[in-house]
Amino acid sequence: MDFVQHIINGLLQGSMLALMALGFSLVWGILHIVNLSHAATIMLAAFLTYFLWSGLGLDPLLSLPITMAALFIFGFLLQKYVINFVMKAPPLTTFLLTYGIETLLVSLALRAWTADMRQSKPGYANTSLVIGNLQLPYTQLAGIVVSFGLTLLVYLYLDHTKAGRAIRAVAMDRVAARLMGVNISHIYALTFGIGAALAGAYGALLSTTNAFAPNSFSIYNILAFSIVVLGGLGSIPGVLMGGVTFGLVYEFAGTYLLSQRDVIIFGILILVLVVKPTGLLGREGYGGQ
Amino acid sequence: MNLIIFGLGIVLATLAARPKINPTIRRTAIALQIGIFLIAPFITNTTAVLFDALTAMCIAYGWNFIGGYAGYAAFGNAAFLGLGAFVAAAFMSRQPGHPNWPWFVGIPLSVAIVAAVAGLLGLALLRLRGQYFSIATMGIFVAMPEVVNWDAFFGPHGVIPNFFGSGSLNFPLVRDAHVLGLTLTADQHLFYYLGLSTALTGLGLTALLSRSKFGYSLVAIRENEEAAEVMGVNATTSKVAAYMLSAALAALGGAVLGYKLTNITTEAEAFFSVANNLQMIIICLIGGIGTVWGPWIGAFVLFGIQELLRTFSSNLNFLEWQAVVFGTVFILVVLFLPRGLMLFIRSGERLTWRSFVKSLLKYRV
Amino acid sequence: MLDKSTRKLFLAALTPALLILILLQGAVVRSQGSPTQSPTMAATLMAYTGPFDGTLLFGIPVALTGSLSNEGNLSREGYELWKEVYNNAGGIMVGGKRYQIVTKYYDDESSAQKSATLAEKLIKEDKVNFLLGPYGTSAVLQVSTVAEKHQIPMIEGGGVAESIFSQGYKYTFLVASPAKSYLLGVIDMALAQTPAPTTVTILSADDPFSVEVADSAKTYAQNKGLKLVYYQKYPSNSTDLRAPLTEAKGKNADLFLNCGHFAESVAIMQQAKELDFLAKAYAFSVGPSLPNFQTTLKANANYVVDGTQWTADLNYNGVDLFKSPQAYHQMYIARWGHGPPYQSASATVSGIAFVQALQAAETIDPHAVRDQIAKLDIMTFYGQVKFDSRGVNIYKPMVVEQWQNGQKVTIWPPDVANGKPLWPAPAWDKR
Repeated sequence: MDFVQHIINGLLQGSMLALMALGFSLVWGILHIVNLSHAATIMLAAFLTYFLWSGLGLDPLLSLPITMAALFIFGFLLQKYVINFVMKAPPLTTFLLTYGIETLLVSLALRAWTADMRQSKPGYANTSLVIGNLQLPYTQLAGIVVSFGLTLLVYLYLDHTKAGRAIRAVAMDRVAARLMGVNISHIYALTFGIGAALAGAYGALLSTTNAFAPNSFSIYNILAFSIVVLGGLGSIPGVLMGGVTFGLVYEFAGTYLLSQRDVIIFGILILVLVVKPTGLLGREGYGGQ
Repeated sequence: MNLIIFGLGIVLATLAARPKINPTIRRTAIALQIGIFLIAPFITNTTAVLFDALTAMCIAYGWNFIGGYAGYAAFGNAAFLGLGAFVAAAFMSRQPGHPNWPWFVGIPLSVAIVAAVAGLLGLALLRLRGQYFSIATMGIFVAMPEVVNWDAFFGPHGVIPNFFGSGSLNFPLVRDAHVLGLTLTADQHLFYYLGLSTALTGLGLTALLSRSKFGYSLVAIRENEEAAEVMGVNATTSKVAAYMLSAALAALGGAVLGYKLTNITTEAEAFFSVANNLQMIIICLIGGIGTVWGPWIGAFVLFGIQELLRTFSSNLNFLEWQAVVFGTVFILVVLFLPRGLMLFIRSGERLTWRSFVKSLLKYRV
Repeated sequence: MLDKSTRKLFLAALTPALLILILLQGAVVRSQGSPTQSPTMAATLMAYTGPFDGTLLFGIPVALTGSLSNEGNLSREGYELWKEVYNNAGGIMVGGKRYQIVTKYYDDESSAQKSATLAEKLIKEDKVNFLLGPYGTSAVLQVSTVAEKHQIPMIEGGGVAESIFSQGYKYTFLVASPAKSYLLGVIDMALAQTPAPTTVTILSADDPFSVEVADSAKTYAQNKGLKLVYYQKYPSNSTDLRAPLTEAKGKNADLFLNCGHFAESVAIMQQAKELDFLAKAYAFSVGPSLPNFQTTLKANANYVVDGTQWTADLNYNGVDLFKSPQAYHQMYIARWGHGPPYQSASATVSGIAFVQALQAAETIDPHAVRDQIAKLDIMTFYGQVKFDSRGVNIYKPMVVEQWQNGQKVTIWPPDVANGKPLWPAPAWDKR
């Protein structure tokens, strides 16, 4: 029976990982930058949620919209006033800049909040829904619901709203979009903000399921990258699939090769890059949806 | 005093790097440089900062080959730094089960082994381009400490039992020596000279290879890999060789660093840390990637700034804020100085505020 | 969409507000997180108010923040209690002169690297006379090299792995029992219960200390006939252990052993409840002895067992100023407001060992003091303190304690136990 429990654990964790990678995928697909400050954004959200819970008693699921809004603003401003300066630069430069931002944010967080471990513990923490022999922790169930909900929202947004279509237009052909009256830098900032908000949602959920400190987040950049590469850049279902796959890999690796989990992630990444770089479901960019 | 040495280093190197300079002046500048560094332990209180700068420089020279000349920005060379330290410790340690070989055997052996490992990894990874390559190398960085800790290979019952001491190894402690009435402390003298020699190795290799066929083929690969292949450059061999060189120099720096620290663990920040990854890149960026004197100047500028800050704030405050300062400097350099100081030295352009602003606005949307 | 200028205003106002909110919360939480300090001091001894002939400066780089902050702060409390009690009694008499004890702390933020740098700073800039140990094997390992290089003695109770003592260093001394012995008592205790366990699971962090404890426990358990059904290492400081716990549940282990630190011990109990994983006993190498274990887990802490260096129920009669474990316990509570786990006791006795050595040496010269430390053989409230040729105290036994109804009870060995083990642990929904 524990095999099924492993599968459940993997699916729950995997759908949350998909949410984590979704923002990363958007930014990469539309702005064409691999955003290494993604993990720092998750960190900020986790801390914000924690402080709202410990200081004001706000349940993490209730404060989720607040956290997402705050991180959206953070991402929007970051792109508009910092990252915008390197949008036309060679990819290495943007890479380095976001890497530098990540390092700066994490070291500031260490100064401000110390490396002590925190965790939000609302009333339903560490309790599970029991179905037969299977345990489904409530915090992770909330995670899967939020993940699917937000993913669906993003999908609809990109397809059915004016702003969403503008975003996809910019990804397809920047010059043509500008000719059609789209304000490019505004779209860039908007997309980056959305990506940050999604990362923020993940951070909020993470603060309830795991204990964390500022330096617990470094794996998420590579993980997001691997998920997007596996699922294929430019595909939302791909991100879901990549996330779930890695969730399952994480779970099964965790039973017998826990100390070597990252080696396994790395191995899968290399395998995909060498064998099928466009990923399982991918097309180049979000334009082709 | 350290500040003065740094300052002199920067000035003399700038002189040596100027393209249109009298060869005699250039040679004198270089000789003076080396002379100052040779007598440094006797004219300054502590060579610890100089040691850090010199080993960092060696590692940066390594990165310069793959990231600067070849244009493949590797983001995980700190993995080789750490691995170099661990392999050297495995051979040099006095703990039970280790051969306790001397440093002039242990360190070169470690460098060779790490270079070989990098060669194997490079064969797979260098097929990737741009950001894909960079993140893949980051993956190496994340995975390496786990490989060191891997029971199945290196645990008590592994293939090479206890090779890495379960993630914690000790170099033999070096005690002070008394020679000719002078007390030569390990820290001030032995390790400093080891560090100096690593830096000079890096400088020497770069100077030699940059003007060689190998060096030119790397630049050709950076500018246009397909065209280079058409012109007869074997891109794979050159790239892998550059990657192996970068790993070798990283391992060299790491082994000497580890030797000085004596105790190493996989958790220690001196080895498998993001800060190290950043440091080698930022040094090259400041000085100028893909140049001979770039890493030299860059290392002294970076450590000079830190030393300056340290004298103004209290020592403890500085330790606490070091990472923050680092990150800030990094961002500023990427935004304002992407081609490094060499741009100004080489082209003779003036180093003004306006040129910084120009760099900033150049790539804006 | 709002018009441009309103939007800009909105954004400009909201962002700094949010940032300030985040930072303020951080500051508030941080100040709440500092250890509780009871303003009243134990007034059982007449406080010495006369003059001192000099001071002895003890330097301590220790984890006041970070993943080891719980254990680190408890060590600090132990050191401070030692200092206050001994200063109140007139300081340390060395060769006819009366010295006041002064302590200086630096926060190594649970980083072994920083610990070493700070130790260098303490020696070279602050000019400490002696070092007292940081918490954690990795930190002690790094600092021991610094102590050896500068030939300043260090006595510690927070780093117990072999790797520290196999280097041939002469200036580091461990007052506590070494890593190898941590979980052996637990195994003996378990085997003496009915129904006796037949299978064992070991989950270990991959830092040098935990690996040593795990390896030694594994060999011992197998030699005693227990079947090892699952053995897994995880990266230190990881707290998501649901995958290996699910596996352990599936293997139906009778005895569950964890070798790690406080943070994981709490996470494991929480996740074990989440996954409904039930073993006959859960035993940890570090964690349950800390008061925070019970205050965080509340009822879920019950039935948990750990191997401990010292408990307040033991029967030692020491030559030091605390004399007995019970008296130490009382004085500690009066000073700090909560009971002392063994980490605090180890810290206090490190200081006591220095006092004894200094008195025997009759000089404050570090080399002479070091020689006297090596020759020590005393009984203290903590147990026997005597060092073998490598500097390890192999003469003091480990004992086993268990949380029962919100109280810690010493349950093994039987001659020092003051309660019976509660075995097996009842199902989660029946508590």
